[in-house]
Amino acid sequence: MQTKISRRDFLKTAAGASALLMTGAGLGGVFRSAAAAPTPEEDEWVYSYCRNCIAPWCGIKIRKRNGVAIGLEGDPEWPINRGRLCPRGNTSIDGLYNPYRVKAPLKRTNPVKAIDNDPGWVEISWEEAIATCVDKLSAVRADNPNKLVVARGFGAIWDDMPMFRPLFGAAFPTATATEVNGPLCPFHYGPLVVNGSFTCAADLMRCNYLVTFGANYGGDFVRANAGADCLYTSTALLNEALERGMKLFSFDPHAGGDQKSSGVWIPIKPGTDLPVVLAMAEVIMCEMDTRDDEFVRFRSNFPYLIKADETYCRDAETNKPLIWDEALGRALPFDSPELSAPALTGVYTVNGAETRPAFSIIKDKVSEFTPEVAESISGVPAGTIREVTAGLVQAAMIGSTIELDGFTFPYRPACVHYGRGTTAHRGGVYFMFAVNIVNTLLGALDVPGGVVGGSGFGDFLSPNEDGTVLPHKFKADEWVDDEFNYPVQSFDLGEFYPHRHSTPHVVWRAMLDPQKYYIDFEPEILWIWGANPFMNNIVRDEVEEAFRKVWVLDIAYNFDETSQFADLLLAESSNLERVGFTTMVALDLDGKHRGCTGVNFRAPVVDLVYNTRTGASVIADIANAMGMTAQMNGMFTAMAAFPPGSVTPAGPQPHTFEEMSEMLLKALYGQDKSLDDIMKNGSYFTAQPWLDRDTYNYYYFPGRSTRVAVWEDHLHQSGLRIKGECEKHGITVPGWELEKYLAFYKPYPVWIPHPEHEAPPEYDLFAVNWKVAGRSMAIGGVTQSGVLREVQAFTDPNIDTIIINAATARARGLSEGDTVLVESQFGKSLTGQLHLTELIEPSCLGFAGNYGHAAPLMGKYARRGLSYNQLLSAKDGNFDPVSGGMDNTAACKISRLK
Amino acid sequence: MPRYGMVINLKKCVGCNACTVACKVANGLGPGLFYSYVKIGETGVYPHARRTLETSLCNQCANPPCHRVCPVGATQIRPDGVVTVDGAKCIGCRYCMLACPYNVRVVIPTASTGYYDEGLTPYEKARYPEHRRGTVEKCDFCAERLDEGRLPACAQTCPAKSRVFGDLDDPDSEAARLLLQHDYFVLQPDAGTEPNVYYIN
Repeated sequence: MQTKISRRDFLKTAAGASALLMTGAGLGGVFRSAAAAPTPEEDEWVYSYCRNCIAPWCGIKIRKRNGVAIGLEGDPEWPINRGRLCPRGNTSIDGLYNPYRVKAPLKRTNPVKAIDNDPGWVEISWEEAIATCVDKLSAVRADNPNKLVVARGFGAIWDDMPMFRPLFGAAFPTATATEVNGPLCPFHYGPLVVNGSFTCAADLMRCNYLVTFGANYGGDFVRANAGADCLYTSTALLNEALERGMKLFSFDPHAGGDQKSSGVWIPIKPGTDLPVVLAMAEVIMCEMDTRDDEFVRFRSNFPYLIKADETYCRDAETNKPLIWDEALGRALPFDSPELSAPALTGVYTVNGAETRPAFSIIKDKVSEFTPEVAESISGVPAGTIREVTAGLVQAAMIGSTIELDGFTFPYRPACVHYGRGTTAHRGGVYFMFAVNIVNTLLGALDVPGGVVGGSGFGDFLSPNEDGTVLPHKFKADEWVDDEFNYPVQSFDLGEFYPHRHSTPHVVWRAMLDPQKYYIDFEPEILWIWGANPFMNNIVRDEVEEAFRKVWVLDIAYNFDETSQFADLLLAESSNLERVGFTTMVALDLDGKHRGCTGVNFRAPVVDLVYNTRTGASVIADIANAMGMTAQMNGMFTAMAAFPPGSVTPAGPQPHTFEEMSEMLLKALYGQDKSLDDIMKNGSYFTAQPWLDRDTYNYYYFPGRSTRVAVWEDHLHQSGLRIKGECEKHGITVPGWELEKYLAFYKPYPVWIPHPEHEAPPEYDLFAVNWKVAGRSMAIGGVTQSGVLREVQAFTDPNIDTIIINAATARARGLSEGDTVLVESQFGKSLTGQLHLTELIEPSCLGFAGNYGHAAPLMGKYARRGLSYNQLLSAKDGNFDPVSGGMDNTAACKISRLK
Repeated sequence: MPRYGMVINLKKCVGCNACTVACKVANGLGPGLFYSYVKIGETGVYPHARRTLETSLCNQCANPPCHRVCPVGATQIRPDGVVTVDGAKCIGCRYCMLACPYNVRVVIPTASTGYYDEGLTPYEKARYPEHRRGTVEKCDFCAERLDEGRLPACAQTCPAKSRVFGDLDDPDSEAARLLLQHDYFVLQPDAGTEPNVYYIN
């Protein structure tokens, strides 16, 4: 029988019970005792770092009076943010005292899992909670470790690295580990093959002409720091570039913060960016017939000879890809010292096979996409495409150089870049390939002014055996092939999606029907941390079923949808109560140091509010109790990158996470350092003596020493390999027609309309959404924050409404404030109030952020608004089969409700 | 003696409202109370439309009408130009609110209600008593922070570097330099209030 939850009664009970526990023993590895009685005079500033986004490098200081956090601000002394914070960071105290937190370890007593059903939580001790985890995990490990599924999200990222990954690497090395947050931002395959880097960004320091697609350059995401990882989200850097005179052209269905002042907004129909970028390539290659010739011939694989089967023509002796040398009239290995005149056009017979340079094949393909063709698809006038492209080429100053610190670089202050609005589509990887082509034609990759890699500086462009950029070992796993097991061994189907950013939407389906996915065992345990697939993985019905099927262990901060379907909640401390550390490569926006690196530590800065613990600390206890001490110590030591010769937690001696963190702190910054010092004085960093020169990866692999891959042979080979495996086993890619799947494994971009372009005609509008400053990534309980949600409601009419172009609304007899029903092509719907605006393309319905939580205990602020993602589809066949990226748009129809 | 002022570069402001949140936290303001905010609007017709921003905070006028009308001397002008309200003196008559052409003053509600239905949080319990019920308050450039040599919370936190605070009489201050380098305006110049908050657009 289902019973409705009474929110207030339950929260009161939990708070009262945990207050009792807080004074008692049994807090295990909690670093700082919650029981210390504060003196009445205690009033001090303490230090930590903010974790309310994916770039947790902003220093913060917290004013603490009698154990209560009464103030919080950016730390003016910390070089990364110099006192600045975004709106999310400024609400960290709300995250601490959020009344909707999980306040103690809880176990479910009502076996019926449903969104509005009382789980019958019963508070248990940490000892019981950990013993239960150890029993369950040990049993599944002894039976079949792959029956465990691990799912992480942005809420756990960084915190998970030092503990979660070592534990599973040691105890469950082949179990499914999926990132729930990934498939709405599959941004990485494109930069991996040209920048060798997990992310990329336009060089805002020197770019003069930036064309963006579906991107948010700081205007709406809003970040107070500029981590080298994605410096483009830094609001201050964007502003400085615009002030310097950088021209910004944003192709986007919606105009937001980026386009506010100096940027030019070019409205575009959702999901049609690829034809426009192909048209830009057409203008450059066919109409203007121009390019950075040196870069194209000697720093890309444009001249590689391609056979009729679209694979490289290789040297019979060395197996190296061949290039036709026009001067010598014969094919040479790509790295031959004799090579002086690589051919870009023509047909050449090599080893008896007819071959063509990749350049000429790609040129033929893009020639079909004239600006007029692109206009018919995207709605962007052909003249605009030509004008923006001509400006781009002119601004690129092809042939120019710049000397930085005694080194001469090509200077290409113009480029094209993108964000999740374009990559979170079926075909999103092809879109990135198309942008790579344009930037290669300009020679604007990893040089001053162009698109630069974002994972760091140094050895990122080193070539592989085929001469093209080998993705750097940091996060290159998306590029590296997965082993093909049959029967399949993991629920995220790496066998079929070897280049996935992540495929959690596939995981839930495969857990429900393993046989269909060629898995010959059933899942038993799901361990989830800092992730919410109910809100983010689109397939909520399947997520619910998957959570019903298995025993769910949740490291839980709040009573979200995930907790509502879990069996055991390990109550997690808030950001201000946790021990943790993150590695950091960031720029100093005020220029005192060019950049800072280091490991940024934090320790609890306030008394525990409830009976909670740092997630990593609980995991360490579980691992030690499972007998995994030695393995985990070893993996921790390796992952945390201890300096050589330091004392590490290696060996059979068990340690708490707090002890291990402090060992790392001492190893990095001196034996006299302690986590207590960190709390009192702040963390440490290393100011890098980098010169300007050192921050461009061209410097480390200059001139002809490497080549970017515009012809992505590696992807093509993956498709061929998987096709072969399917034929060998008499199977297909689950949920896909094989040919339809393979259509996304070509070595060059192909325009394939998205699911939203194939909807029945009555679905005549497209739903789109974008990041908003008050939510970006929804970490740290920001959607539950009373202050933040109040400020949004007070200042922004776009929040929690359905946004429509004013003319579109008028043509349909719709008015401001009308209550409307939005139905998507996938049989899903939302109801909300209309807001009319001139800032959205007329075929669109806009949604700012993703709110509208369904869980009863999430509180009124998070439950308010609309969960945009629920309009979408991530069924097999509808997502990008390379990245796993879900399609971020749905065709919709709208009707007014009385 | 410095003459404090703020320069807000509207070209740089993106409307993220980090300033608004920081202000509320710095001043311990409960629901419905804003010393400062940035409202998002728009101008123009598709496709030539763009987002606009309307900021609100006390202009710290050199000739403040709120000061003239206060019957008890609660509103005061510091030597550094900052206009403050002495909560202990304020009788809540609200003449100042009528006199202020910028509508930047707020009344502290008589009931101390927090953001959450579950009761006041420890933070709210600690901070709300800083405000006297029924009295009128407003932005004072975080006067207490200024006295400690710190920036106003909004200016310190601004991720866009849109808000620049400083001594307008010090030619080396960034605020003074910005006013030399750019065209600027103040709100309602005809009101004769002589604001010390300047805008660049």
